[in-house]
Amino acid sequence: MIRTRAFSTHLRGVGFVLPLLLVMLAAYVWPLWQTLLNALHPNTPQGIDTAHWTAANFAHLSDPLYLQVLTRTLRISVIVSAIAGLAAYPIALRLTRMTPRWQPWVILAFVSPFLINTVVKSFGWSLLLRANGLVNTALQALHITDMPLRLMLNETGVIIALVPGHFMFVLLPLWGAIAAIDPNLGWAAGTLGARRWQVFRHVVLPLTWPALVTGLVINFIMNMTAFAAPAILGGARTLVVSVLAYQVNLEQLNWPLGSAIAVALLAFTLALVGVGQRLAVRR
Amino acid sequence: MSLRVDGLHKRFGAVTAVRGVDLDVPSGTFFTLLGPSGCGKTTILRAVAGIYAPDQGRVLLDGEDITARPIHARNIGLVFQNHALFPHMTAFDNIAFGLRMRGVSRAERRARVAEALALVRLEGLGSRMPAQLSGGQQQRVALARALVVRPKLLLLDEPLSNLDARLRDELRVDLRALQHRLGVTTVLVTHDIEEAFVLSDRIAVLRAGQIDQVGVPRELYRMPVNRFVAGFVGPVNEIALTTVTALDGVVWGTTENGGRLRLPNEAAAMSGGAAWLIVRPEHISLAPDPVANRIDAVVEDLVYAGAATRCRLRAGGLSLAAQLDGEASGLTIGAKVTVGWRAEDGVVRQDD
Amino acid sequence: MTRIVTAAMLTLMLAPIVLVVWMSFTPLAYFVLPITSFSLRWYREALSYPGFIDGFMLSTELAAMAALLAVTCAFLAAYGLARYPLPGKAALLAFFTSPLLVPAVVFGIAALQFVNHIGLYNRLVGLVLAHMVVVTPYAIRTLHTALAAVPEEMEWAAMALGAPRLRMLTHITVPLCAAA
Repeated sequence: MIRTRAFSTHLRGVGFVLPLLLVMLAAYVWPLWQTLLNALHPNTPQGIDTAHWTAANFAHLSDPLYLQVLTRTLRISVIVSAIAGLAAYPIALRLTRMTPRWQPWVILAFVSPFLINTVVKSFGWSLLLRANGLVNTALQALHITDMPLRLMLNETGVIIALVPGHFMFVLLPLWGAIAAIDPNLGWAAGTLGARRWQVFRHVVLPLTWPALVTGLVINFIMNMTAFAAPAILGGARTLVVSVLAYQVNLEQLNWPLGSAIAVALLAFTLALVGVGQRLAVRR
Repeated sequence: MSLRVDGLHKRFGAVTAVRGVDLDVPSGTFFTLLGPSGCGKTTILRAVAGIYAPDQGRVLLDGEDITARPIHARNIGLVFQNHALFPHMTAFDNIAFGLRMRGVSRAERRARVAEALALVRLEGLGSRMPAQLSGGQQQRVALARALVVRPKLLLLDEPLSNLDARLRDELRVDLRALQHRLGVTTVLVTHDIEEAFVLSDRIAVLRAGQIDQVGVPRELYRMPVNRFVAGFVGPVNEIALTTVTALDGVVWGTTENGGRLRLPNEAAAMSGGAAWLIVRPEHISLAPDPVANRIDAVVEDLVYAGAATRCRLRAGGLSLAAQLDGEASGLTIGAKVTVGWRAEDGVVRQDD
Repeated sequence: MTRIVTAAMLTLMLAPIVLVVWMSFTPLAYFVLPITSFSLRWYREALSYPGFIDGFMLSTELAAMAALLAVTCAFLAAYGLARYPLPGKAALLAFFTSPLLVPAVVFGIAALQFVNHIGLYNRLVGLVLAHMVVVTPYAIRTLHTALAAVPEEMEWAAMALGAPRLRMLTHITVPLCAAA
């Protein structure tokens, strides 16, 4: 009797989960699986040759051209994450000292780039950073420079545009972690002779380390996989992995190779998450 | 190291937490700031520690004005109510922290931390994390951490309030022994009267940011300066007196329903005016001697509390609380009794 | 010091948005800085531009449908996960949240290839399905947290008072986590 009831309860539970599960399997798992399969077939002018299997597409990725794209993407991502990490602590500390009147607005300001469509933002950046854009015009008007600086269609432009969009992923967890620290700890350390920077190094930093690492990993992944900002602000000569994948798939119509790039990117992302979780252990 | 506080004022926004407080704590003594929550006692302590900067006033340690000195330069030990141990460090590292900040060598650190752990009777527990220690143990580590740096002044912010009653008693005894042994000037903040009485050399009773009375426990209990202090340090009976009259060397008070009660002689100074007669429950007895104030009353309630029996009596318009020794056998609710107290056991105070 | 960094970052956050909004009010057909005159000319033009209206309507339709369907499915799934003893609950929850980890371009390509393959290219259904996948992590996280906060006792009380399960859900559970 009891077994049957437990079983029917089980069944009902499964019933609730089923719709979402089916949708996810059909529209999420299956497409990804297909992509993986596609990456293992050779490409022909007539389309994907599903009769044969090959590892050539993945081998192709070690081509110097592709490696260059990868290193460029890594370089940009590291720089953006570094900026985010360095800026996050001062800003998070300032947030904790802010009155409730200002705090929500400042937080909203830092969250807003995520809420605004990245194409719109990238467009705004192009207005600011182009040769006759606002920044250059202002710099020249103030006689700080007499020639326009190249702030766009290069890595600099991409970096500038990526920083705001992904910053909140480092800032918010870090702010939460700092706010959760018992204020008595700072005062206790003070009475024991610790100066401000020592309190930071011995109390704040170790206690906020997991949040910082987790945030930076997410930030880094988002930098690596960003599309709109690098596409609009990077130009033809600043290819990143996601734009490359797009080009290979939709311009060159080489689906297998494009799939291989996508799979490689996904594997890299997942590996990073694993590494990040390991690193985020309390110091 | 003696501590002196002069005219301390501290405001938080529209609220004045401390108004014009003066303190004088001689070197090596145990001084307590006692008062209900919100009276400003913690604020004063934190101002002495350097956490809050006073709006007005000075803090002097051994005559030196340290008011402008930052927290880390004051060499003051502070123990918090919630122990505030660094959760990511072992007990050993917690205690060693102050020594590290002072650049003490590793070998010396090890020796002094071991010494401190022994002092608080926690030998061998140095490698435990705070989360692995019990509440009492955590507070001991906090104490060791504050003391290992040999501070000039030890400040305790309600350190026992978060512990259960038995632990509290245990730690209280240890605290007292420690302070006597080390001779460190100590200031305790608490709202617990028993704690204050057991530990302190002198106590300051605070109310709404100001000190009402400073004195040894006995003074506060037997000669409270006003109704608030009287009622705060122990249970009281308050009887309203419409007039006080002095007649032939005897001082009388008239109650609201016309009765006459004999008052202690020092009440003569208040003759002519209205006042309050304060009598402690333990001074009311069932068999009062002839000269005392005598009242006929009816027993309303009896509560047996082990060593004593608490009794509520009604005498006309008055409701009195009496504390009788032992079992008070023979008394039942509704019984008619005659109770009384000696004139000199009463305290007369006027409204402030 | 912290103030300077905060101010600098805030500028970075808001600059492009402010600029785009500001620029949208220029009466000129090209960009010239600084903007000195304001006009609603371009708003009028955008509104009468057929592609814009169509695109806007499509986006709205798409968003509404995807949101509605995703939240419904996510609510049911979150309910199942919160109330029933299922094996591998944590794994399922992680699975539903995993689209966050998949780079947008990777999923985009995968979805595109897939949709192409089964002939749903250029049809709304394909778009809606793909958007549902993207939205699901946010929906399931929020709803699961909210449902966990609604005490199960309330539902039992409702059922003990005679409400059949469906009614209980719509009258009690859903209103209690309406915010989520």
